[in-house]
Amino acid sequence: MRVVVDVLLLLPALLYQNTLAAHFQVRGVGLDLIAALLATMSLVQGWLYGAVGGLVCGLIMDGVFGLTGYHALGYMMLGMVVGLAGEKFRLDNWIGPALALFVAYLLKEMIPIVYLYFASAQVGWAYALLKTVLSGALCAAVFLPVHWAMRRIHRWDVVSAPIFHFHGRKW
Amino acid sequence: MRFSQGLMRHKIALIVCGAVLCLLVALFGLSVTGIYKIPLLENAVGAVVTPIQNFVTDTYTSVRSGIEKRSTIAELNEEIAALTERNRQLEATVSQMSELQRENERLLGLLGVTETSPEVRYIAASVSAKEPGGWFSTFTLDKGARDGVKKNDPVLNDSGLIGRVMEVSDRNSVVITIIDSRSAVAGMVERTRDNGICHGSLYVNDNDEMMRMNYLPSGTELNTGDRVITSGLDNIYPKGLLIGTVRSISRDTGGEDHYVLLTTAADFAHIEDVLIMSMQEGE
Repeated sequence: MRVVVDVLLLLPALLYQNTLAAHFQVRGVGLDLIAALLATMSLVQGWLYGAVGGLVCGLIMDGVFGLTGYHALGYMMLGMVVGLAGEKFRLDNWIGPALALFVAYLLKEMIPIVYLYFASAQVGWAYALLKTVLSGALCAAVFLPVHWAMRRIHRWDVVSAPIFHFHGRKW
Repeated sequence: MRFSQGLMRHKIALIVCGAVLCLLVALFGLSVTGIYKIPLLENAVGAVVTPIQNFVTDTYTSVRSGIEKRSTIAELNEEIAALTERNRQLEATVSQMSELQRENERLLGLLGVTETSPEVRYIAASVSAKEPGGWFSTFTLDKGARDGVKKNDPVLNDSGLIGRVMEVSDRNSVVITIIDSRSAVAGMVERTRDNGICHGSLYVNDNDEMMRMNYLPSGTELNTGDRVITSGLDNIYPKGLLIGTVRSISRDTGGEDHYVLLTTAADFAHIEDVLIMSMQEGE
């Protein structure tokens, strides 16, 4: 059932990200709810789960905005990095996962930064980097309560009952 | 050690994910340069997601406008009086313009010049989604190819130029705004008639919506507040659409050319409804 619960949580997050997120930004700094959800799913279910979830969410975003590969690449990478970090450091505490997400978010944002740099786009780099760091910090801060809630939800019997097993995990 | 063993156990999965990431990098490269897109993905996602997005965006817009509508009757009366006066002035201007147009037609007829400008059809559309990342300034409209929207159609609202249609699928279209750092518009200072290229500039000054106008002739005398309009030289935007006003004037490091920072006419943070200028070549 975990996969069903995660899909049901990701759908409103996708809608928020596509429609309302741009309205709630303050000077370019905004919350990436998909990243926060993907990170906790990746930590609970493993890096492959995060990677697949990130790929699917990213492809939907790419379909909406017509830039194939951009969001899919970023979210898949984020899911993988957070999941792999979780496996390496056995992150059961709170600071570790939040830090892993912050680093993964910065990596994800490197994709447009590198592209715009090589495209010689007129960008105020200092403010752009500040905006990226602040958005990453906001994402990591929101991740903490989301992760806490998701770990509780995933412990419920009805949720933890597997639909199928794949890659050594209950899906 | 244990981590490495874990990775070795999932070697195939890691290789597949790595290959998918490489494929996505290639797709992003092809997509961003406009060489290749996946229209099937855009059409499929558009068909499913657009109605839901429209519902969410419309609900949000209704709630926000309900909160914002707090004008008193006195303020509205003042506004009506001002608009009545403005209307009277505009009517006088229109009358004058009609006379000039008739004169223009008569003189063109004398010279034997035939009208060749394309017919323009305006398609009203609403914004259904906005790119949230902040790196690219694009948004999705609820009108697509089946409504007559074509690639590169200019998009504007009552304030001024917004951008152009970058991608079209059956039910929706993606607009790249003029403040996107990939955008360039051939512009002209209305007062001095100096031509230049207006580029989108990201985060030039704490994310204020600004553009930079380059390649102005040396010795150009500009004032802050001068209006900049499209020159029509790029063959995408027709001549005369308002881009913005001059905010500050600078010289680049080379000291040769002027560049000016523009404040855009349109408020890009609050775009809800737009008009798509669909160009149709006259017969």
